[in-house]
Amino acid sequence: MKLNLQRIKTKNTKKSGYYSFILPGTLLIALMVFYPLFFTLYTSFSSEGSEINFTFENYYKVITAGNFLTLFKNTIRWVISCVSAAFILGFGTAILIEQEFIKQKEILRSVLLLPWILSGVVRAYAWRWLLSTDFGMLNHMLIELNIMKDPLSWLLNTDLAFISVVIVQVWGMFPYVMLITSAGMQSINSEYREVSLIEGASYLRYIYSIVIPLIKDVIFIALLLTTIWSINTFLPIWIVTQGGPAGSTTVLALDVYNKFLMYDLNKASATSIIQLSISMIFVVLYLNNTRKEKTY
Amino acid sequence: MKSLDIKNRSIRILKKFFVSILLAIMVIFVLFPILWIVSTSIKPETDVMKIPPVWIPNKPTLYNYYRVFTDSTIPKNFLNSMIVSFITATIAIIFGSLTGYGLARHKTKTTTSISIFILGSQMLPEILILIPMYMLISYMKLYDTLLGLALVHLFITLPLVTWLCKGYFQSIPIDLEEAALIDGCNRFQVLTKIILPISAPGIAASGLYAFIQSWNEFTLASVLTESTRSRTLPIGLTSFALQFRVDWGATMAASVIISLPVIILFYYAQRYLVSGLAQGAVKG
Repeated sequence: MKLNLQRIKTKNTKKSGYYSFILPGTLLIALMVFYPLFFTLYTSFSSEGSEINFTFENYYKVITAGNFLTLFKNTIRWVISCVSAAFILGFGTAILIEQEFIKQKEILRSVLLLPWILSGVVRAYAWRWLLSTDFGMLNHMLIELNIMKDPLSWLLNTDLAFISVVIVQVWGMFPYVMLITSAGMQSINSEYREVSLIEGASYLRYIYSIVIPLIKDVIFIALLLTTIWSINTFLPIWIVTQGGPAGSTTVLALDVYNKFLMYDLNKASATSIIQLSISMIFVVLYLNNTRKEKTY
Repeated sequence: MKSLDIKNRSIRILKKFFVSILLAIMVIFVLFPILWIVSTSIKPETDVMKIPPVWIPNKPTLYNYYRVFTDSTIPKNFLNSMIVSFITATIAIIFGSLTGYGLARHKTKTTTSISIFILGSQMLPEILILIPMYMLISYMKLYDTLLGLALVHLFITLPLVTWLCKGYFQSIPIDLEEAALIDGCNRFQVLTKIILPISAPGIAASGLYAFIQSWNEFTLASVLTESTRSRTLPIGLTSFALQFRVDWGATMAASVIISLPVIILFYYAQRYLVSGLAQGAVKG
């Protein structure tokens, strides 16, 4: 009898059977990843027209084009500004919400999450309208509060335009950082806080020496994801400033989209591959971190 | 001793005050643009372009909503978005829950690599698949159709649903299944009779999340559709913006119409999603 049971169990639990569950979805995803990847690689190495020849011409043209250096600098500036601002605001807000005396934690968290779940198009239009020099509420409020005297041309001045698009991106992205760091902080045993209080540690000291080391994986995920998103985002910029004024807000991803819209497929593909290679550095770091964790 | 007590208490009060002020600033930062959307959407045309701008119009009106519903493509866009998001979420649930289940229950080097690959596929930019998918969809004669867009949206929704479902299945103890297997159920019966009923809320929530992602998506929809027949809401929203003049009243009213379903669905599904989202099952 015991033997029989064992046989039924092995027959039914033969693990390889699970592949019939796994494969259909996996193949579908693989198709949607590898076909575009090879297509784009292929296009980036072909010259205009569809003649088959392997050439670095497109990459050469893209890199030596007059605006490439600016584009590259803009992208780096964009990513660093967006990621650091989103992290400070997101983690900062999480710390504020996790204070014991704050009562309506759930409601606060839900309200603060709002920008993140709105469509990127809605976000972008709302801010473009808010930042309008004459009709926009932001200038009006800043003047009312006596912070400044004259309305600012947010979207016409190169530096202000850059700050504007960073604000739009950060507004949509920081709630995610808040969400996951807040979840991380909740998983910390409250005894740590009590002990550190008894030992006379200040709150900042507690955050720095206990919270951050304990949730460092979460922080790592937040930083890497926001970096990857910022590298890949162009929609808010495209709607709010169209990359201007004078190209001051054009980043790599927006440049790819512009080239696609102009049917400059070969150069668009080459730029796209360059952008992808940069983001892959962070993707690989991210995946490595996930692989190390036991919980995946 | 007494003076120390008072000192401690005043520090605590000061700290509470400080924290509350900072939180209030963050709430204002978040709500400011949202209130501005709502405020503009209920303004008559004369108030929209008023200098200085006002928060509450003298005569609030639903005229912008009326215009959007009767004199724009938004109603058709709304229907299109419903259909596209529904199709893509349904397909994603069917394939994603099966794959997620297999990956949760069968752990080897190969399946781990598959999991990591699926997670990684979420980090690829939409812009990379734009042109290849345009070619593929045109070849399949699905360009400018709802089905074509729904299929391409699987690029966003399928990895998401797979990863979220995998999380739910892992949280269900395996003992239950082993007992059923010993009782003579086959693996498919175990899934349909035991696992799916238990995890239905979680799977439904991940489906809702997929629905929202497809609903909000702009880049792919902008290239794979060209007529009102198949354009979705985010594309419809841009139709009020001409080169030099934007109809802000209508744009903001349409923004409210796009956002309301998303907000309702998200808060409905939220509690099932947070742990999955925290593990990186997100598409920016």
